[in-house]
Amino acid sequence: MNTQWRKVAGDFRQHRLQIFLVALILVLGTAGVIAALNARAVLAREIDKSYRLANSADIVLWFGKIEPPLLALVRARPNVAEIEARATLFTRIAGKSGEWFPMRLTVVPDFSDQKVNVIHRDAGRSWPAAERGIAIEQSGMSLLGVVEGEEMRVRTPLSDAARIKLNAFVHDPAVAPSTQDRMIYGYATPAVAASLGQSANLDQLLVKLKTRGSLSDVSEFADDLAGWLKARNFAALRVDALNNTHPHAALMTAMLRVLEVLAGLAFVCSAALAACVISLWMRREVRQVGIMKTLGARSWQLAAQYLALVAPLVLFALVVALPLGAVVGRWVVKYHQAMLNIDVADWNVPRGLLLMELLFALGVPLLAMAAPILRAARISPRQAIQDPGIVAPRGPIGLTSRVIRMPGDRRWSFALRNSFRRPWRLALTLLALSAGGALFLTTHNNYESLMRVIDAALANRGHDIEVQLQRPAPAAQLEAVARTVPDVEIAEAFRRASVNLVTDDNGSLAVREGRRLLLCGYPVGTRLLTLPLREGRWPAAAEADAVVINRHVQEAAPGLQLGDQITVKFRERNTRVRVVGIVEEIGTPVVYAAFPIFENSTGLGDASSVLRVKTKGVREELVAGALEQALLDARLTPSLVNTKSEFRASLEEHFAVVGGVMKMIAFASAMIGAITLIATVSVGVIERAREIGVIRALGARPGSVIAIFLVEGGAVAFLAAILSIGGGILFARLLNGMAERQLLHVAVPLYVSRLGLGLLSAGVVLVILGVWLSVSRVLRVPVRDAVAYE
Amino acid sequence: MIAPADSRQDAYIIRLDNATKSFGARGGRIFPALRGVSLRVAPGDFLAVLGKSGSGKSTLLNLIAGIDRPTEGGVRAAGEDLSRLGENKMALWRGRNVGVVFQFFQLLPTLTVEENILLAMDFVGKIPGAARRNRARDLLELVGLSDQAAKLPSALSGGQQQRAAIARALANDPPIVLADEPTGNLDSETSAAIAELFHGLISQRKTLLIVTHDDKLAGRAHRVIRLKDGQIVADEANRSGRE
Repeated sequence: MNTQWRKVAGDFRQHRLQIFLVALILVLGTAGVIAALNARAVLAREIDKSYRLANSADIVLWFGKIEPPLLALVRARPNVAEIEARATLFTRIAGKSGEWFPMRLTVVPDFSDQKVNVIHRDAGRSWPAAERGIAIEQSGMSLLGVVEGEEMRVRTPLSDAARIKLNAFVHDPAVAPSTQDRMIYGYATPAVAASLGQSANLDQLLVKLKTRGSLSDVSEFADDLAGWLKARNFAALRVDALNNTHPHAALMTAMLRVLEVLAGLAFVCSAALAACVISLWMRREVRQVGIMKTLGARSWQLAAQYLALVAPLVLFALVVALPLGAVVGRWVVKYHQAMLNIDVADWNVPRGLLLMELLFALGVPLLAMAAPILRAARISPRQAIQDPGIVAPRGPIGLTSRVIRMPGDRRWSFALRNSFRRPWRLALTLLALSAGGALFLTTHNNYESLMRVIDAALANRGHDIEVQLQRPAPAAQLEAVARTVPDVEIAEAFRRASVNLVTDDNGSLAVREGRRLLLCGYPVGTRLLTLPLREGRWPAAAEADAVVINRHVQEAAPGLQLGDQITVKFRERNTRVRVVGIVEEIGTPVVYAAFPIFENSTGLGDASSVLRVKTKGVREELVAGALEQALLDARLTPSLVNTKSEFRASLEEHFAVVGGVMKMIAFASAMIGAITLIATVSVGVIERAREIGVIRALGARPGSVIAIFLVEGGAVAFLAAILSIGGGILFARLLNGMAERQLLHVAVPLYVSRLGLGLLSAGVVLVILGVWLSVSRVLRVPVRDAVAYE
Repeated sequence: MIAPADSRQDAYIIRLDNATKSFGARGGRIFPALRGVSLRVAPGDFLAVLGKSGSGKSTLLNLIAGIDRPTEGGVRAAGEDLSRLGENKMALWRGRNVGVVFQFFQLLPTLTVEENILLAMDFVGKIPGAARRNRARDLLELVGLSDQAAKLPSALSGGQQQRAAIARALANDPPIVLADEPTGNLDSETSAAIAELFHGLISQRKTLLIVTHDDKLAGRAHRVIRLKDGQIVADEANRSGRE
């Protein structure tokens, strides 16, 4: 071993704690970058591929029944790529535990010849004989707790429980996971649907276009097609131009952005630490640089020599970080795969990216280390040899000495000013720590703000349980059945229909294309529709055209105001109504109309598909169970029974998707920040060994010196906590605003999470503890060694 | 000449008895930095310690300052047997009884000149809190730096920094002042001024031990000790230094 390598080995032995911490951060930083970049590359490719695999429809046309001549006509239209007839039914299915779940059953004419909205089995698995059972979307596996081949119970419209075999778990990449929506997605042939007592009629025509264009283009094409078909006696009952995006498209984009942020953070921390480690080494080497220069060494020779010395550390970090990053990246993809219900067929990382990561892992630390090495290598021999050993501050020391003046004991002024001694190092440490803290608090603040809004919204509802029925029934019959159930205080039947808003002829109201609304008919004198009005009033009984809308409708029709008249289109029927009130609620766009106006708009008659119930304050799950049984006994089969707590749990699950990722990133960032702080304080102890020696020679006890470093570390942690709180409030406000405008359409006031603050404080304490542990270990050096400079 | 052992312990502010200090070297070898050194120093004495590099000068100072402990033998200073003191008590004792002046001044760069002096008082607590600022100003006046009190060390010249370092060494009014090559980094004119400052401390009954290569500074000492290979090979009174 030559002298240089022996020296490196000696340095490693002497400062193993610091070297370990620095190596750890280099490994974490590099692994973080690799994990984030790998996951991003795989997800960006696979999300797109997965959704394209579904070949999702651009248009859906609804008919009474789809016959072969209609199919032939549409298939022959220009710009039509593929078509397929299907039907969608809503029923309930029992899991192994006996719990009933709502199920959306899609009727597929031929599983082996799907054209649009394609579902598939895992690669290499063939379709079983479809006539013998149903297929279930694989994300429902954990809810149902069954395996392929088992028999399941499905509710028929006549309230019987039909037994059917679970043929296969399939993947439908165009739906959100069942676990989030608490909805099972089933698939069956017309014959199997008929065996379950359901209609085997295919009433939806799915159309895939060759060239799609914008949603407006699709909408225009759909209207033209519907008009063309009507002229040929095939009048569509309803026409939907679809966005053709995954239900969680926004979430997917957010996830990819989050991964980019994670990669950026890891990149910054990694580079910062690389610079820190070399600045430590070069502080120790300054005198030797001077000696070597006196002996004739040139700057570039010294720079090359020191760069060669740090290469093993970088190589070590790379060797450990590469597989670690790959494993973590794979885990991140798996997490997203489950959360977004996407199909990952190819786990490979693009070769170009791998090469880029290698270059990054080697290049960034070396480049970051090059700056302090070059600075030290260019020092003049006189400066180097006369270096006093106490590190001269590079920051705005004059300013900090004027501003930071603690009353009384000078130790605390000294410690606090030291925190600002290395402004760049401080900035990077603060960035990593406060980014982690802010993300962490944002997650908590945002989550608690949203859940409070949801709780408030649920409290505003007049009902505790909502039942949707497979087939509509007379209101009086539904209410009569409900009243037989113990602990039901109020029961009211509601009606609902899916409608479109029509753009005014004069163009005064522009309606966003493709947006469908729910027209909700309520009984005159209702006691369960208690949503608080934000504007206007509830209609009087005598008003023949007055309706109330919720804020979501304004999003579908920007510019829609109180007092405006709108046209509601149900099938071929257009009805003018007047907005007299605006309510806030969480959910979908709803126009509330009293029964007479609902009947005028739809002509559906006394056919209620929704039953709402208020309990007497007992456990709503018990009442819901009894109510479902009572309806089944009366041959009124529910397709969905939803309690307040289930609704809350479902929304909570949705928020948890984003929250989970943010928490993961916050944790990673805060951990890197904490290790950075501990390492930099610990490195600072070595860098300032002489200074510590002087302080101890002046009479400072070891405890005093540790206290000084603790105050230094604590000041940084405290500052990071303040920045985190500020950032957490700012980002939570932004997220709340986004949730308010794009998701919930109700005001989302900021709530600062006490739990988040508590955990953040605990984090600060842990960081300070880490500083104490590392510093007290380093300070075991005798005063003599500390004072000795060479 | 080696000073004879004396039973009148209190007559000496510093007393080393057969003090040996050895360091472990590579390959398990032992390197003796000081070998059985005995030394007596009376209060108010001014000793110059001379010797070549590696002769044990700094080790001697470190033993007296309680910065290091002897491998064998005993060290008493300012009435305390240093071998009995633990790390904390040693630090407190050192702060109260010893002022150390370094070759490279070693002022703390983030504190002003005045704060450097106050910090030394804060560590030890010997000077009452209310009196510290006045004492710091008096000391700065003593070293001729009254007008530099609010400046950072980086704004001072080398000579001024060393004056400030001397003021800091006197912060807790220690009876012993130790200096390791205090003029080693200064030009001859500034060195002379610093030597004058040290000489002035004698009138305050301070005991001075200065490791130096500076003949002029050594010439002002009462006694000159020469070290060679870890042993005192000469201990001579310097009459010119007392004049």
